[in-house]
Amino acid sequence: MTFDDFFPAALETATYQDKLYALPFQVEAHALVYNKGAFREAGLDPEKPPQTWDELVVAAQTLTKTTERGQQYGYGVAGGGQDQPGNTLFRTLPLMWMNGGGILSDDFTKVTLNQPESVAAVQFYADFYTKHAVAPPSTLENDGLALRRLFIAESIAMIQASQADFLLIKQGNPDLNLGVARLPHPKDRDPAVILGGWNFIVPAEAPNKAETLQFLQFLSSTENIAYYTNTSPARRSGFDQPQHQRPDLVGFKQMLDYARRQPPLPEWSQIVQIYYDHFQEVLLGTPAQEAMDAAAAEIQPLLEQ
Amino acid sequence: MARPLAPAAGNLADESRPARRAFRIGAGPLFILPTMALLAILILYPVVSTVILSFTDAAGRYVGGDNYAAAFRSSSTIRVIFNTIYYVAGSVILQLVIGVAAGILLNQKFRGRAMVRSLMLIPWVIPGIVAAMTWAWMFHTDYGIVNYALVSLGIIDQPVGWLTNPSTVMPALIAVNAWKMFPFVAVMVLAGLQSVPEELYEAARVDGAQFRHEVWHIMLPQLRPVLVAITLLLVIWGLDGITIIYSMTGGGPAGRSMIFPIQIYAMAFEFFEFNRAAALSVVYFLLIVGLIALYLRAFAPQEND
Amino acid sequence: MALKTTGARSWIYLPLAILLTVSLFPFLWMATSSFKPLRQLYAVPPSWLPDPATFANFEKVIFNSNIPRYFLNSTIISLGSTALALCFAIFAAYGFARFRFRGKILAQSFVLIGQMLPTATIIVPLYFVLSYFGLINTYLGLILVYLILTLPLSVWMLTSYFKGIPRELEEAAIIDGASRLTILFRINLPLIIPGIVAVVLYSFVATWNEFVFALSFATDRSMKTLPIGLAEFSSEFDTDWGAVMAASFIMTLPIAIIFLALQRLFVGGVMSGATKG
Repeated sequence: MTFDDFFPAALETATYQDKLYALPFQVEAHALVYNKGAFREAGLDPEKPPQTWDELVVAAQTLTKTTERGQQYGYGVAGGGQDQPGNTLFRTLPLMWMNGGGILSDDFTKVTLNQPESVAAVQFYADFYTKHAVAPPSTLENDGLALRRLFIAESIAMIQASQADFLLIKQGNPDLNLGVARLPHPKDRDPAVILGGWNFIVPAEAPNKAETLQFLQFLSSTENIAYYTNTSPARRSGFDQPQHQRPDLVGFKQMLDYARRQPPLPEWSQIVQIYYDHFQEVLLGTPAQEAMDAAAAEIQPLLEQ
Repeated sequence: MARPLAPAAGNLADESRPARRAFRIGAGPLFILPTMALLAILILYPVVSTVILSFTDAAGRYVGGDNYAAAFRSSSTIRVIFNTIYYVAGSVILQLVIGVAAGILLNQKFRGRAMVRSLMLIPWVIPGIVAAMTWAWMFHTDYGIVNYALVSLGIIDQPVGWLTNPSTVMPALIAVNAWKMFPFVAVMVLAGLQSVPEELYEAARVDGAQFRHEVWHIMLPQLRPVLVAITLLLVIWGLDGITIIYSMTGGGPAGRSMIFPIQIYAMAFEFFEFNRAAALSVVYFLLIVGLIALYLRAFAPQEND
Repeated sequence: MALKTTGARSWIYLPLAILLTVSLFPFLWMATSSFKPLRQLYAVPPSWLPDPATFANFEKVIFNSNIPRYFLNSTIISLGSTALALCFAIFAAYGFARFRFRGKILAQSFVLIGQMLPTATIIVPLYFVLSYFGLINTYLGLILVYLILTLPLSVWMLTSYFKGIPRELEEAAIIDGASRLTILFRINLPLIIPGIVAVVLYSFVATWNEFVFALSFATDRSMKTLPIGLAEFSSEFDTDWGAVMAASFIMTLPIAIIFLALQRLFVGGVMSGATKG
């Protein structure tokens, strides 16, 4: 079978040393989810969500105010909580990518976390909390889940979230009028996002291999991949199927084109933890450059192992 | 029989007498053999194995002190040592102070004493994880009752991020740990006070002693053996307890509440660096042996073995 | 029962009130939070009582989560390990309390070290051993490793209790030619019932709350124990604080009831009953 129709980042996650080892099935990517009612209340156009970083900051500032329900904050920052360090990575690594940086170089031999592009992205994200104060004071205890809850309770007006989050928000507070948009990006640059999802793997020693492969072939047809996924299909043509035509979800689909995979390194989880610890330092007031320099110094030896 | 059977009574046992002829040498070892064999398998083997693992790499090759060097190269290790000692010492002192006070208080005569004694046990009875989750919710920056109460009472002007502010996170965790364990101390103190001979109080009262004199000159000296024993237990439990920190902060923010056991766990089961985890284990073990040796040195002469 | 005090002092009601508030408030706050809907949890100022009370949080915990299963797992593992430890400990403690033999100090030190050894320091080799025997994610695996917690503790405590029994009681039986086991079970054990109750309670509480081993060796959803289940509850079952508090409440209630029922025996037996003539 051919794989031209699959999202390239999804294929990359299934590839090791140029060989494909798994069948990408479901994919997902974060987008900006915002509360249209809050936009209207704040005098913003709910059909014109922020597109650039600067616009995002302005919108978040405008949305941060006291409403009749209590204090409302403009933007949710994932700075702590249980689902870490993953939640912070999913919200900050794309910012580095958009800005031309990243945690590691493309060949995974060098740390680029303390390069100016990456540092600027980290500082940009932390500033929502430290400088602009448009993220709630509880930022250092909020993971993605907590941010979603606060969004449902109308305490935060914009969050970065997945399609699954979006559906749970609808369920949790059906009165909300939700908007989904591409993640804001630096001016004159493209957005970026981390690819999430699921692949099928058939272990080499598994019994009934031929039948299993036949079954997977069946599952991977455009119709079936579209039908059986509960997020987004890993092939583009899956979106032609009616259940993936919902206009309110189109923002998530758009983001898939900008999706990239995480580096496939055994040390990656350790690297992310080190990054996350130092990112929290930035939220606690350390300048991003200083914190990321320290993180880079700890990460580099891991790459040389 | 007028002797108390509480654990504190251990030093009343009359072991210094010569062994009776009826107890032939050889019977004692038979009684303890099954337990000793079990403990050898469950404790001795893993300890030896940990030491071996700490000097090898993932493939079992001898690497000298590399794993230790890696542990000490990481800036977090020193902080982890400091945090662990801070957490244990702080918790134990607070537990003893509150527990002794509560024990003496509940030894007084008042209406509803049995009821109060029961209710006071609740923090100790509820599972540690429940205490942790409840306090995490109470300490929530935006919606926690602690911040609300303190702000309303005018004790603080602004909500405090108890679990996310580097200067409050350890005291908050220590307070939770003390809250959890003080009833144990109180129960033991109550048991110990039961064995204080009434004559001592009567003699003191004849001399016109006030209540505080009774506390200082009768109760506390009489409680000394109990306190020596339970302090050791509290230190051990404190060194071993990760429930509160793991579930309330996960060691954050930015490692400010990271303690040894969590670091070892993360190294082994999150980063899969089993050999470095073993090296950390050995360092931790030596730290504990040092602490306990100091403790026994200070208090062992009072024990009767 | 001889009381060691002269009579009620009026000043003690203030510290008593503080003590009760500090002890009880978190529990009560947990209870009320568990009946609140999401909007009321995230409300400033907080409402003291849920209005209206909702059972949605409890429904979620009981019917839409793994908490009931975790509860069962914890019960089996704690009871198993407590019972096993008690069987071994009675003999060992009696041996330590009543006999002199070469190597006793060494053996006692070993038990003491076992008692002091923080569990986290040996998780790596234990993991290898358990996986070698296929005991990861099994009840037996956790029951066995929990002996590390319960056995030294039980031996240590029971030794003190045995030592508290006057030798004269045994000597009469020895002269009558009773065997050592008879002496242990007929004479000593009945006298240390309060000690056994205390040991069972401590062992049970220690294993019930154990975290490190459970986190490392019971990773399967069908085998997790309550502490881990609750720590991961909100992210695993996608819930808010209300459901976490409901799960906490459910987890606490039976234990609190058992303990308060036993507490008469516990406080009465261990703390004051022991002084009865």
